[in-house]
Amino acid sequence: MSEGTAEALLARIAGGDRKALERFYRDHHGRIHAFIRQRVGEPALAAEVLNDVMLALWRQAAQFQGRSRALTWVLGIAHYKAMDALRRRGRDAVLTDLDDAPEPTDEADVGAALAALDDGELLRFCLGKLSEAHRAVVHLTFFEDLAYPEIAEILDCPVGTVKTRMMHAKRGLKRCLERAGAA
Amino acid sequence: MNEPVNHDHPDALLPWYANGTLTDEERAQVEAHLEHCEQCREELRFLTGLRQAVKQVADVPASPELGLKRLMREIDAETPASRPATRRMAWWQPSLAAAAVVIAIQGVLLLNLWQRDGDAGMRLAGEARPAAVVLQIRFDAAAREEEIRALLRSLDARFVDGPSAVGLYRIELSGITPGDNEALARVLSALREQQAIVRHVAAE
Repeated sequence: MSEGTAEALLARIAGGDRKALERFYRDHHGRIHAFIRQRVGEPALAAEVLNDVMLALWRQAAQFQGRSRALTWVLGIAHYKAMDALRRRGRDAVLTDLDDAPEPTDEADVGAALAALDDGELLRFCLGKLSEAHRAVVHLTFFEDLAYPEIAEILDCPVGTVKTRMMHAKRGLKRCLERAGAA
Repeated sequence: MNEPVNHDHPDALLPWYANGTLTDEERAQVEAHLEHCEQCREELRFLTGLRQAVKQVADVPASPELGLKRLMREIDAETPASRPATRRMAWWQPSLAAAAVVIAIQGVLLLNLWQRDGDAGMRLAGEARPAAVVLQIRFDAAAREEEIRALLRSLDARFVDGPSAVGLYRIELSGITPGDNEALARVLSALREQQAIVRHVAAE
């Protein structure tokens, strides 16, 4: 384990090494923040949750047992901290599970949706229209480039649920991009 | 698309084909399918474009300095007892027995809310506080105080009673609303995973 890996830094943090915590923060805060931000939406709340996650990391690093990658473990903490923050804010959305919703039948025009991806603001808008759970799967798949078993571990759900959420998410995105892009 | 309508599209795997994380076997399965399915090739083009676009629109803060300063300030402000234990508790060489004594004394001195009536009879003397989620837990004899403390802190839990004659403690989970069974199940699952520390745990 080389000195600068997230795993090595966690081991040092577990021993109370503040420099290691600083290094971990500098190296990884962007990815953790991006994950939190797309879950909670508001910048101020995202900053709060990021701080909570890093405090939890400082206090709990000794619990990391190396069964998963360090960043997967930390994103798992971020997942729960983000859900707690949303619950405290009284967001029902976090409890809404759309996985059992009926399959959408009107297929979007994939070509039009693809063309609409060039518009970053439009994509943000359409991502915002997804349920929080579906948006998380999109983020972990396409921003973090994680495998679906790892995503299931972070979100603490079966792999089948990850695939189902992705299926709903991409259909929702395609429809939104196509319609909003044509408007 | 010239394939039969009901052929088996590997739709569910395409997003992870696009991000390059499938196993060799899954990748081979997808590639074999893509060779003759224009519908899935078009889907893949969309997913590849989506991947690039998502990376561009994600909110990554430019500088860590502000957040880092805040974090370090809060860590500095913490009491020593709430910091990671390894370096600060070295003088103590804690054991479960020592921790139990300290915690039991603190419980009696500070709260004096609890009465003992045998193992099954630990009851709240007066309902001075709102109802809370309480677990009964027994730790492994080899578990160290610092491990127990870190575990409880991670769950936002605290001791409210114990040890009983058979070594049971009661812990209160202040981070969970009574009735939130989903959160409770997560905590119980997390505790049961800590087999080196926790021998038994159950919700009351």
